Amino acid sequence: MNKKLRSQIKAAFEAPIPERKDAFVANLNYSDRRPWSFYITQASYIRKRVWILSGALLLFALYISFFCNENIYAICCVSALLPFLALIVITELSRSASFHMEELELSCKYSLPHVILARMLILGCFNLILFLSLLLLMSGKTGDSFIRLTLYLLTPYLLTCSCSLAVMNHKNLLDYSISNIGIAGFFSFIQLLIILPGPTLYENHYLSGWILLFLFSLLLLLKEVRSFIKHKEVLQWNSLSID
Amino acid sequence: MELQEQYDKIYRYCYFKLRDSSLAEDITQETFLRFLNQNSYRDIGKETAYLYTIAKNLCMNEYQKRKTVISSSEELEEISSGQEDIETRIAVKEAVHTLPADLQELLMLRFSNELSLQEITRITGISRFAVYRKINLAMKQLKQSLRKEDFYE
Repeated sequence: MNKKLRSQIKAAFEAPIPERKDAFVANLNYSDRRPWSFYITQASYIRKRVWILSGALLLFALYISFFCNENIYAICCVSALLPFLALIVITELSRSASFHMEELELSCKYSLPHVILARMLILGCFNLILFLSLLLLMSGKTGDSFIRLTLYLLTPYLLTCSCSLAVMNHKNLLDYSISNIGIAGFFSFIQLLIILPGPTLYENHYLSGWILLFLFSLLLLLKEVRSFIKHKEVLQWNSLSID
Repeated sequence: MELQEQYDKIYRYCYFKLRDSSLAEDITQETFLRFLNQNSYRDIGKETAYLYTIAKNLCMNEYQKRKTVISSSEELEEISSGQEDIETRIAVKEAVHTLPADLQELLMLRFSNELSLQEITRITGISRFAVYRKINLAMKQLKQSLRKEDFYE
């Protein structure tokens, strides 16, 4: 189309210069609605101890993996540590329930499921970075393949996350932190226990079992995350005080 | 969403509807206040359309209340402050104003506020094809009208 005509049509709709625009924009309490700014805001609400403890766990896991003589024991010990990383994440996600703040958060500008999902994404990305660095460093040290290490380390983590969420979805407890600690401790203990008869469970012919367990825990986690978010959506007003 | 830019566009849209700069600015500010204070909107990437819908409804309410009459003399005064080919600009403006209101609105949204066809579809509630067809029709009528006055070859 003729550019000149286009610009003339544009000019035909020109309005007088707005007189009160600057004053209005300056006084407007306008929060930036771009998606990433929402995630940055949410990241700032995550407690500092979560970042610090997660980082400390990573460093401790690296310390174990580099100073443990037997590779298989290193894998076992690190995988026993990782349920506590899941515990940190789940405890942070259950904060509004633990402090009985769900109703208040539901009444805010962004709905609670939206906020929970944002925090899940932030913590999930952070844990992914931690996992990737741990896996890269450990696969270099132990000589095990990346996929195999992923299965050994991620399965107890995923199981802890999914079981903690399952308890939160199905039990109306007053304090979820005790149940979460119990679940993380249980999976950590199981990881330590399976090494006692010898490193048989980490041998090649159990690999298919690990794959199945990994897929099962992944599917369970997806299901529980879905019902966790759904539960937040249908939360009844003042339900905690009624109980 | 760039607030400064959207302010100008919404203001232009309200001015197009009401032909009163002070009233258009009031409606623009009311639009933004309502948009930012409401809780019903879900962030699903249709902010522009939602903003225009609020502005449109407020303009319609105001129009019903005041029955604003378009004052063409004021507009011609504004144009006279332009620099180049003033005569052509006046001719185009007059030709635009001879078009039906719905076609004018589409031209305004498409060429002045530079909205995409999809955004216009959401604002006007008509199909994408209808928007496309009506804009073509408006352009055809505009060119015909300008040809009569020898401003367009």
